[in-house]
Amino acid sequence: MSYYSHKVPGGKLIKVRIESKDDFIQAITLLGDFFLHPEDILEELEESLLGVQLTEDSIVEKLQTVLKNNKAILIGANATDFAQAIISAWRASDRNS
Amino acid sequence: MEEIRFLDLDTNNAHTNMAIDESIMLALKDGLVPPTLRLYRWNPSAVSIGTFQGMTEEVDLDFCRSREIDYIRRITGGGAVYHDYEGEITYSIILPRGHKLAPDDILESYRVLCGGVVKGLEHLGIEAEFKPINDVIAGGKKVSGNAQTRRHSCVLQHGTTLLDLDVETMFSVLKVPQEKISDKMIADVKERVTSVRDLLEREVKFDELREALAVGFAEALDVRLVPGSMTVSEIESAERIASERYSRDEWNLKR
Repeated sequence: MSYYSHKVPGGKLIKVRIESKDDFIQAITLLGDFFLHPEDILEELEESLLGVQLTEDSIVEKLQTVLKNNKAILIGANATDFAQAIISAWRASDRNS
Repeated sequence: MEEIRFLDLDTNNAHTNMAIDESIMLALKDGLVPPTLRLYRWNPSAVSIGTFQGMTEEVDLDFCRSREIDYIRRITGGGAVYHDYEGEITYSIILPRGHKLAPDDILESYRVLCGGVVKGLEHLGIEAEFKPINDVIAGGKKVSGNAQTRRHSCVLQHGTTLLDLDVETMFSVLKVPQEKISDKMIADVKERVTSVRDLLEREVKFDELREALAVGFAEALDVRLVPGSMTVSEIESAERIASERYSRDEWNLKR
């Protein structure tokens, strides 16, 4: 399990807890003081990332698909901010192991 | 002129305060009550965290327990807030989706509804302004934080207006790495956050802020506030929501 926190310039704070195997996401929790409407989509966003390869493009694509399907709106952070925070969290775990 | 039910300044514990917001949404959704503005305080003092925040990451639960400070997860996003019984008034406004005061554009609706706080502060002689995403600032410092959710066919916005600032307790409640708690940091917060009493440099009474917020919302939103009370069914559903959701670790410690 590794952890990373990222303040989006002009936006909110994103925190990521992640477990990975090779370069795939095994478990992930997204936290922070951002806004997401409707709120219960966050769990769906997290689930959509399980098994996803840790590249910015593949994470952004997954997140955007869920957001679009639910007509969900993120405020204070966007899918790319989340992807970058997730990649940073993963790299932090690489350094630890 | 449109009428809004006004539930005047009331004091509850954290579980009840957050449950009342939801019980009003449910009653409004069923057409049982009109759009509503409420003002309230928190007793015991409490810390509320945004719905996506990690409780143990943000809050020192041991400190809260030792000082009998409540801790609660909101249904709205945003950040952790320390609601000092002696230091702030919270408001909630509940409107039906599609209401002209709650535009679909979320940032715009923050601007409209935060107008009530801005106007209220103006009544006290404070020049304040909305600062996107969800703050009201005065003299360049935050004096009010606000958060919104859209569910049950309603828009709920709640927010706090600081009357007084207890930085030391705030830092003890909110988890800040020990090494970071220094005089410098406390000074920094005082440079970013302010309160009505700091701004006016006098002992502003709760009643003055209460009155100013009520007048401010009425004027900014161009509505007439009609004093009212909760219905029996709202009180019952608030009790149920408090016991089923807000008093439970499954909810409060969910993340």
